[in-house]
Amino acid sequence: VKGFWFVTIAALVVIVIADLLLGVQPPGLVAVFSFAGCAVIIVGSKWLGKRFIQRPEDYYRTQTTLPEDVVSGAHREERGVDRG
Amino acid sequence: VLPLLPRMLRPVWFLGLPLLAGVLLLLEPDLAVRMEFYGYEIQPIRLDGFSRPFAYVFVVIAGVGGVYGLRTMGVGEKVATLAYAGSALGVVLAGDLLSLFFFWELKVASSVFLVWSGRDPEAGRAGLRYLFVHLVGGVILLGGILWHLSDTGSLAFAAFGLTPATSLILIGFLLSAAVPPLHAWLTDAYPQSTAAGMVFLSAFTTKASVYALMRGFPGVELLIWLGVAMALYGVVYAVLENDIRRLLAYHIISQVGYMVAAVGIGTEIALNGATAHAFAHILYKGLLLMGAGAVIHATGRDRLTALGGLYRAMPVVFGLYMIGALSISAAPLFSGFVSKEVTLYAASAAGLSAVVWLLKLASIGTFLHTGLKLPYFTWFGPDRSTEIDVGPTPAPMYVAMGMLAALNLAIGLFPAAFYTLLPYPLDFEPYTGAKVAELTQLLVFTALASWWLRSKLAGERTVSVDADWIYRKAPARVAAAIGGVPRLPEPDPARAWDRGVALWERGILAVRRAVFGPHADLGHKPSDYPTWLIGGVVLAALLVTLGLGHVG
Repeated sequence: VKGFWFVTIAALVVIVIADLLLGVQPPGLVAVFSFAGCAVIIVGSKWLGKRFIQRPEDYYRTQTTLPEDVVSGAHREERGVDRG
Repeated sequence: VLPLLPRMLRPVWFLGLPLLAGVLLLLEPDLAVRMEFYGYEIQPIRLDGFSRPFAYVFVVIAGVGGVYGLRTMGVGEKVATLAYAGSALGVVLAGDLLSLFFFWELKVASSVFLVWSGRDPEAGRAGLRYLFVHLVGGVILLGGILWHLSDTGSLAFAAFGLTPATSLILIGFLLSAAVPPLHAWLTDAYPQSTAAGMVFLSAFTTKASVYALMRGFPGVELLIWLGVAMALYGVVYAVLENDIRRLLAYHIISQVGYMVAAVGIGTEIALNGATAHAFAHILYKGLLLMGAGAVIHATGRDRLTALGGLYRAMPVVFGLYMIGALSISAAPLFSGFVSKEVTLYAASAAGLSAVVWLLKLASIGTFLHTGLKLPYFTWFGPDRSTEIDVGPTPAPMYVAMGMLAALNLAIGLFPAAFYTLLPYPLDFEPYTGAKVAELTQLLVFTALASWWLRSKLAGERTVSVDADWIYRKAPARVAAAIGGVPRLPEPDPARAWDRGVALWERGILAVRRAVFGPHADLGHKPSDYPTWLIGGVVLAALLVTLGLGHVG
């Protein structure tokens, strides 16, 4: 974990220097934006998912129409049917 | 014609037709055909600056996708593919609304067979839902066209002002471009298709709609915000998705969002950006789906939670997939960089800095999923290579992926030549130090942040509810709330009507079995016919009303 933060900060320093040389203002902005944005996307989406969106895999499995094992996904994984 | 040809000649016909179409396009770069049709002037072919790039890329993907599916697609699937590619070409070449509608519906009718060719009960059901949504969209579109005709007396397909009539046309286009909340058909149906089928599906329908929006509604401000919302919507769902092709399908929505936003900005640079991005998108998304399809073909698995550690078994597919992933992520030297920067430049030139930053946020998500999450959990990640039985990958698949990878690199390396294909002259240099530095920062720091949070990124065995809940779950809930749907009376053999119905159902079943093989009837409920009957009556009533309105 320590190594990770070391690499991140080193990369940030390199990028700020590069931006200063290229004259991009303000230096390092996109780097910080990307790091924060990526974290927001992951954490935010997961929160939305847990709160509203995600359901068990058999959510759409209907009661009357299909036998259990022919519903998409689950059976493909378990039986390894080639769909090519 | 294809099934009638001897087996040896079939590949020639299947790949020769796109090739022939390509040659014709190059020979006649300004072809326009006009004719009179029951007193209306129509123009079935209109090749100009707008339609030409779309026509080119459609022909390219029809040919390369054909190579990809050469070994794996069935004959019926190939027939449907040719019809689908042809009608998509028809849509972008149509110069009037009547031809547009004709090819539009042909496109729906042929593409649904690609969904069904997944040959899975769930594919059958998803195909029916796909058909249902698109038929509703088609009726809305037709209503708009007829209303517009009675308002203005013109069938010309040019930029419209917003009236009630053209708003219906706009809704029809937006549905087919998969703009939320009219998008769920895409992520529902596409991943049910075959490996090659989804390559075609992802290329034609939404991009033909982007073209239609460019023609009909450039500069409609609503589209900017719809596009931005779309770009981010796809990203959020892609975080949650476990099915690799559905993840990529959500990124179709996200990428089409860039194009829709560019159409909404509506300046010449922005329309160039939309065209460029559509062109590049077809090539890199095709490559990504081919890579994912090759994995599914070889392993029979399509969930991130069931994949992992495949690098040693499929290194070449990984390498080719990553070229597509770097292209969609707009890494410098790849095609997406060259095309996406035009759109971002158009947005900042129009003074829309909020749009620029939100689209950059969507770019982060794009790289996060297609460039990091999907490849990491497929080829690296938790090692499941011992339990996965990896079959062979047919050689044509490698050839097709190689062709698309080469095209993506060519666009990325020679942007000036690529820009000459666009509708308006474009003087734009993507390779400046500042832009390259910006994209490098974006990619590197997205990668770092996702490494930091990688434990949260792993696939989960869930499905995500989306707008398709409205027609997949809500009816059952309503039925439960009112105490169940009244059952139809059991068929009484003594009554002629029931005998007729039974005969009809047997006939339908026989046809379905003949076309789709023995599993066709699994997804079919015999009591579907009242739905079709009611739908047919409503449709007919609507058409009669519209016709009367037009005559009166």
